[in-house]
Amino acid sequence: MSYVEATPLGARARRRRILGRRFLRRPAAGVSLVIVVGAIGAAVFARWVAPYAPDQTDFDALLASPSREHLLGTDELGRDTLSRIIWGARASIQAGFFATVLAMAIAVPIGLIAGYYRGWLDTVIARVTDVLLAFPFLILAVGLAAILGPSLLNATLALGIAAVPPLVRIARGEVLALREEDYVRAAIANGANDAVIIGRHIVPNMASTLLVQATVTIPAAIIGEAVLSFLGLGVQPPTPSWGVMLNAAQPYLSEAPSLAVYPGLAIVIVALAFNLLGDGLRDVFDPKTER
Amino acid sequence: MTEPLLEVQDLSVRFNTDDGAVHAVDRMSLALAPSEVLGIVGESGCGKSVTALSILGLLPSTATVTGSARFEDAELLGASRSRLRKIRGRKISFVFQEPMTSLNPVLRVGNQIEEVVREHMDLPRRAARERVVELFDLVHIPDPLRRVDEYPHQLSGGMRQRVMIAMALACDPKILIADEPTTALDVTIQAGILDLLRELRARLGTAIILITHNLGVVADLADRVVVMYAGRKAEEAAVGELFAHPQHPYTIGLLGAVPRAGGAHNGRLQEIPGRVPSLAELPGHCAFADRCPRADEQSWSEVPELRQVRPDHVVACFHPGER
Repeated sequence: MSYVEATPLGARARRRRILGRRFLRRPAAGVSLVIVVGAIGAAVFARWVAPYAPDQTDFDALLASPSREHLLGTDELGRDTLSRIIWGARASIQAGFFATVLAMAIAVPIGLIAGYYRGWLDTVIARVTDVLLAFPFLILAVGLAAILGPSLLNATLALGIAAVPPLVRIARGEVLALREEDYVRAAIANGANDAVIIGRHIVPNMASTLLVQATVTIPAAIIGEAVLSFLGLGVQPPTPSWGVMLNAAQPYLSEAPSLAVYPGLAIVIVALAFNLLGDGLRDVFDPKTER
Repeated sequence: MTEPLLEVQDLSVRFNTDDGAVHAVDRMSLALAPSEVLGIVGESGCGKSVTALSILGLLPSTATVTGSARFEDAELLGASRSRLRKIRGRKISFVFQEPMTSLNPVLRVGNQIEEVVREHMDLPRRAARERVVELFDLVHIPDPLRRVDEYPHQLSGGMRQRVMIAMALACDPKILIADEPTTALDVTIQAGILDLLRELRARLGTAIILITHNLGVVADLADRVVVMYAGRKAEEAAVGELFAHPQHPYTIGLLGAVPRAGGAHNGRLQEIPGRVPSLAELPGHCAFADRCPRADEQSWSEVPELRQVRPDHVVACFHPGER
């Protein structure tokens, strides 16, 4: 034979390459990924990335317009807006991630129990979920945050709990579909116990759906954190947070509208980036899309 | 006849649906001798799969199962979940129709079989691994050491079915229930799988219940055949006897519908007119009456019971006979 066999690529590596190629074919997803990574980087490395400390005041430049020293201007106390946005990313990213992790940790086991074991417990869980879904996410979060008291931790808890109902519904629906799969039936017929069926057959096959759902929950929680902080139920000033900055900008809307515009833009861009990233991931994981 | 390995008696399965009860299986009896191959034949929805699933308690909770299924001197129907789990895959295992979807897409095939081995045999990881390679060899998967680490999507349909058979054989079961094992495969692959089943029976002495709608498959492999119609046993005989002297008009119809090279039908296959009756409203007469050329008043008023018409040959028909 004249042809040389291509170097055998591991199955996993090959699949990863196909997925990577699918992902990069979508420019919006690629840009979103850059923004998301940038936002996370800013949050983690704020100390080194931000030109000033978030609470460092410059009394020579109060409510200053953008300049070489202060790229996005300063607020009424002369604090650098860019630096505060970078530091504020911490609160947003923390709330976004930990609320989502918390919501997953609560919702997935509930969904698994309801969807896998069915019975009256499933009926109860499904109906309670329906009732909770009747409350808009933010109303639920605001209510919970008001009960828990204002702080970033409590805001994160409130957002995490408020995000549970839709995730329970998604997890339960996924389990209901997966337990009818032939390989689950085959595993049962081969005497597998429930732990094996759930742990090895159901959860791994839910992973991509849950990952995509996480990219929807994270921006919702980021916006939620901004709302709670804006309302005084989340991060407390002087700690920077995009919501806190929006709130502080209110009295100066006519003199220095940029004080509200930049944190607002930060929220919109980061939330949008997470959403578009989720769209990209969904397309990548959907086996029906072409390679 | 030797002591049967599995003896099913008067098995009835009823599904409770919103539109009332559906009688999927009605007073079915079977006996399976050690290392025997029993073919169960019938068209879609005649209850052949339900019969097999009910034995291991694999039906959904809407099903009500009555009767008895004895395996190794123990009753299977109504046995506890944990007891059944020890039998499933260990003593009686299943091969399903759909090799394309019966393997978990996110697990390497070797790991999936290893799981079954470890579930039942309490082997350390290394030994379980070796067992998997041995099984791959047994079902003639080439290059087993490499194949065990592949994902299902890297294997062809025939290979996947071999993997499923390897999984079913993982713990040396006494009985292998193969539910339409070749239906989803193309013809040349089918022949390979049937050869494999035949070889396994000879080498391991595994008894096989072969569920199929393909009489060719039965003729190829089975020792004895049960023909089912509308949830009931219509006829049962040794395979040669059944093909040589079919008694039930339904069996005769099925045999007439088998394509044969150079057949005497002027190139046209004989069909059985009409359709299978709905199982929701099983009639108080012979279920086959409306499709049967021999139906008379008795067929329309009574349900025929099974009776012996020739040595080791039972049929449920008022008018049995070869023509």
